[in-house]
Amino acid sequence: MTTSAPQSRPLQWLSHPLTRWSISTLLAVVGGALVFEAFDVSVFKRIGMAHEFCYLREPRLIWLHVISDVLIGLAYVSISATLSYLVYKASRDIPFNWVLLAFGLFIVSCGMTHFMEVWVVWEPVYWMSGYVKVVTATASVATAVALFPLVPKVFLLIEAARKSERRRVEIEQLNSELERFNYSVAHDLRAPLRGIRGYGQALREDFGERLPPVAKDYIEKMQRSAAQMDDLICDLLKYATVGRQEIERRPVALDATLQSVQALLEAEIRATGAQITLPANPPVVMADTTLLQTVFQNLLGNAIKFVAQGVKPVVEIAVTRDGGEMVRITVTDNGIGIPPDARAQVFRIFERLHPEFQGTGIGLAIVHRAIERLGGKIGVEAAPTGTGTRFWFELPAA
Amino acid sequence: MKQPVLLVAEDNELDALLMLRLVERCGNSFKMMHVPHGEAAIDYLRGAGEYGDRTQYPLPSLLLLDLKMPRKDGFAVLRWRQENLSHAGLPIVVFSSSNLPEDVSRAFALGANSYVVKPSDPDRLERLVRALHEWWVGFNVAVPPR
Repeated sequence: MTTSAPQSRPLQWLSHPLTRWSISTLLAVVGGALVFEAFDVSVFKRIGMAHEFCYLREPRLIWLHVISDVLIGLAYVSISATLSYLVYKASRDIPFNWVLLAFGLFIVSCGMTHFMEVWVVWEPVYWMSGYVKVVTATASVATAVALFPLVPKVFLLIEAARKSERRRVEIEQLNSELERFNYSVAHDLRAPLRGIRGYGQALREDFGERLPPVAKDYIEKMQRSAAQMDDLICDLLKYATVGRQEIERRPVALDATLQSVQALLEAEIRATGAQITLPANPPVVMADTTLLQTVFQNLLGNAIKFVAQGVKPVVEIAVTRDGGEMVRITVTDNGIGIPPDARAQVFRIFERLHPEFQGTGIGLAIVHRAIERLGGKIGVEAAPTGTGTRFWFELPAA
Repeated sequence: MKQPVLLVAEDNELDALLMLRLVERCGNSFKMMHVPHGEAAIDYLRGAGEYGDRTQYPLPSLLLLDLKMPRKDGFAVLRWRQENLSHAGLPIVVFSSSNLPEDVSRAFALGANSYVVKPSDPDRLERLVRALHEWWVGFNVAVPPR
């Protein structure tokens, strides 16, 4: 938690760019004058005393030119410094950055020309001033020439940006259409299944006594298939939902989540006599309540389901936190385990390692997707006792 | 006691027939009437056209309302009920295959009294029919239909 108390900031005006710029300009002018002074080119003594015929030796005219030239020169230097900084910081994101650099050079040389103008007022360094102008002219012409062929490219760039924006909007629309499509497909597919299961039941209940046992067995198989398909559609729907639903990451108390998951799995727990050990001091993690519940429901459900015949499921949920930002949660069972070479693919959708158990092969894919969306990590290893599986996942601590 | 009427608005004929069978199986605790879409449901409640004959089409004590129907959907029926105070006392149980949160909240915002996702397990459906009777006829107090 950060607390932000209102602070008085007396130097806030300093952060204004114009203020900074003015101060640096002033310092530069004074500093420059001092440098000239040091090299015995006295500025202060010569104030108002330009060399022969320069600007008619009219002080007001001289100052008009000197001040303007100095400001223009400084502004040019400042602009090119800003440009270079920009190109340096974001060179990969700015197209044509070499043009920007050339432009910077051109502006620097323009600045130099203006500084020469100032110097010439007091010293007749016309040759030097001329050479600086040659450099400036070269840089200017080069930039001007380089700029021409760029025009169509800039248009292309603008067009591309517009296109990609249009495409982004299109993709967003397609995505939401696809979601609606998924949903209606899933629901419309389930409606006929309800019919098959319902009328199968009706057949069995209303005419069961008149049917030979084989016929009743067939009806049962038919209904089981329909139920299986229904499970499949439901799980696919859940998988899609976990991927697209809006999540809200906030502190979630682990014990409350575990309790509600246990309540959801109550029938299975009671039927198998499963023994579930919860962590002693469950922490608070950053997660989405629904997603975290989905994760535990699948992991616990699997731990209870995948046990050898006659074995009572024993599941232990433990939490470790090694001072870092992540909380590590483990779910360890005494089940049939996962062979080491199959561990890499358990989180893939439709991957079923134990066909002798009923299932859709979607549960762990849902878990994986949920943990990914929560910004965590997940993995699987053998339980320390040798039999069984340990799933671990890490979530940010709250 | 007079047999309470359950009005089922359901466009899927097979689903409606299945429901009728279950109502019969549950000892005919309800008299079930069926309309195939939202417009017919509104006409039934208003007593428009042939539905004016209340001996043949008695006013329901409970409306089981599918959401996705042709002509007028379930939402339109809910909106109509909100605008017509004469049926304010009729409990409406939305009965839809959709569990989309936006559908659920929209239904409740339009005044649905309950929302049930259609169970696909036939046993669960049978339990639901019993529960509907137990709750909406046994426990719930409603304004008698006028």
